[in-house]
Amino acid sequence: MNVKVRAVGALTHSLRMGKTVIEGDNLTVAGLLDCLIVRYGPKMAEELMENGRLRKGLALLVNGRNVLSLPEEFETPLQEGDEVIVAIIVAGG
Amino acid sequence: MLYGYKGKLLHIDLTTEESKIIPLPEAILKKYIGGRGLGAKLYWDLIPPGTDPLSPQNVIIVLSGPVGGALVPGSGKHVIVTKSPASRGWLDTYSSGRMTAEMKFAGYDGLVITGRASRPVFIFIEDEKVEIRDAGSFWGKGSFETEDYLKETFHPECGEMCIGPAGENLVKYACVNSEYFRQAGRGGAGAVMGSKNLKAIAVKGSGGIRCADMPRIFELIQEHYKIFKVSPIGIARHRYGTPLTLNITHPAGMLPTRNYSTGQFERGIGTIDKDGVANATTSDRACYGCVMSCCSKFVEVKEGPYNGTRLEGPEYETIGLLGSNLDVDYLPSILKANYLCDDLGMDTVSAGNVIGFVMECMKKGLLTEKETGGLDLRFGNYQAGVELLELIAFRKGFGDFCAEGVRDMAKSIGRGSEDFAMHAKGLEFPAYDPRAGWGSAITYSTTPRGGCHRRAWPPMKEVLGGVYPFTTEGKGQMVKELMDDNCIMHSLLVCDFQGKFIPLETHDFRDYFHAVTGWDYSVQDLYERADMIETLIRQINTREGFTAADDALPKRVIEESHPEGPTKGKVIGAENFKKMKQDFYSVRGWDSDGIPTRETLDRFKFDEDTRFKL
Repeated sequence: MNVKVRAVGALTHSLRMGKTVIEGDNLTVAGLLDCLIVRYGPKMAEELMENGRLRKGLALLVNGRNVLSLPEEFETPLQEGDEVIVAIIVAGG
Repeated sequence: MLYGYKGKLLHIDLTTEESKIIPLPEAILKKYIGGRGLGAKLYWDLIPPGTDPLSPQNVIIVLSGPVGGALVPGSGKHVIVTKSPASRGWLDTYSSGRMTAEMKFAGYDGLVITGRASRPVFIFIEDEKVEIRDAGSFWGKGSFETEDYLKETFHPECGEMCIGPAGENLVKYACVNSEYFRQAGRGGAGAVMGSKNLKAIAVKGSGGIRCADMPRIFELIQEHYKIFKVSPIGIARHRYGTPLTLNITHPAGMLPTRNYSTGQFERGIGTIDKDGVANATTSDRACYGCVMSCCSKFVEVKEGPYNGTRLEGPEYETIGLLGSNLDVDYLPSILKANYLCDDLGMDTVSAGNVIGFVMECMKKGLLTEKETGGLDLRFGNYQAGVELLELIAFRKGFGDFCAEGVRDMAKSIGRGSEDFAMHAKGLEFPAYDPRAGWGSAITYSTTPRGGCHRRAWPPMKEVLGGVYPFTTEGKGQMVKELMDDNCIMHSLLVCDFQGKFIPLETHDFRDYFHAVTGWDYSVQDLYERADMIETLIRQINTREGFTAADDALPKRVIEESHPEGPTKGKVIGAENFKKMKQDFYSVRGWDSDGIPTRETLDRFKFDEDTRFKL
């Protein structure tokens, strides 16, 4: 299956185009993050994670819902066509 | 000795063209801090209940905060407090520029404007000298030309605020401009100035501000600037400005689209979002006293019917309301509409709501081209939308009807249009649909100035923070805490974006407050004052006759679901809405009718304060 990944104001050095597609079977959100780090290397790890957790100041949305508000959080299984957004925490306008 | 403050206000009576000093007792400043807090105290004392917002009896109060003008990051804000012609209740509306600094340099913590001039006038203030000059030749002219005149003839670095034709013509959502592209946008303060025949105020001071501990202020600024320089949040915000928000609200199902009939606008990605605006950006501009330039992008239209349009902006709210809300993905038309609103002196948020509402009425057959004077206001027809703006500002033809705002328009149209007139207390919604995060339903309904996102921003918790968005649980407490955070910032009168993006905490701003004033408040002291200030403002609206029934939202928000996206199938419902409001009242110490209890009022000892008189 294919999962779309989009960066919003985040991952500016490791995901320069701001988007990619990750292919895999039985992917969870945590598995997807691992895939990103494997594909894009230490810079992605540095920009994405901090002490084994999502870096402070980032939010992760799965089809528009914050992963932390989903019942299985980072173990949420992903489906074909899902979109995962890694965003900086912005506020208002 | 007072540090930071000047200890006095300048009162100008436009009817008599006289001015005098109003002393500010230290005890009042210690209790109410400044900005919103001091504004609440002054409104309570100076604006009697039942005052017609557009009468000479209404008062315009322009205030600084204690740290304003003292180099503190984000302290270039001023607030206008008055009675709103939109809600007919409390209004606090904020902008940026040199007003705060120059008022203080001239020796004042703020201005109190009363009465009505017999002809259009400017007020020029240079230290002790107050001059009222004829503005007749500028009546009917745009804000930009007026600001040019003020800077060219009075002083190039003055603090200034002015209105455009919309304010002169008493459009309910007329704004007050500063520094060309900064607006005290919401609630119709521009119409209050217009009702007083007051075209502009310009201030220039030659003094300074005495601070308790200047070396400590420099130390804090340097420390925080270092944090900002390596902050990924700060860097991204500096790079993209507020248009970045659209790339969050669209996937979250929160982006107003076709008059809030849905919360997603796929065509907006890459066209009117962070990338669309970045492609049109030519340079950055920061507000006075800001290290971030987080909002301000200079943009230019380089082709098409709006070729040559140049402005600072657009903010996310403007893109949402004049873009997706009108089914428009053509950025140049949004930039043109933004430019016109700024020059004509109208709030882009309310203007976008009004046009979206008209478009839905046209779609449903509730309005026809007969009523609109031939304007084909279909969703997506940006040319008609742009054309309507000028008609509104000058109250020409169909524009006169639209100048009243969606609440009064819906009352007149009837036939169910009230259900999709997106406002609370007569103030049109900002660009976050509450159905994608139920905390915003409490914010919009209970905020004293009406549908507003500047008192609390629940998407920070419900979209970005991981709080479950579709529940009532804990939302009353969550919104209260967010409101108190902002109340502290808006009483110190510091831009709340600094805190979020440098990022800084409340204790950092407590440190600035201490260094500037010498007053050693704890963070808890500040939160207790925020609670007190919000309760006093609630009392103001209660005294004006507002009840819990006014803490209402349109039926669309309460009973309808979005047809797509993460919000599909999620309905707030009347019972849930009522429960959230009751929870909010309870944590505030207000009764089930939303009225502060005797016990709560006793805690804040309002009766013991010195009363201001003019």
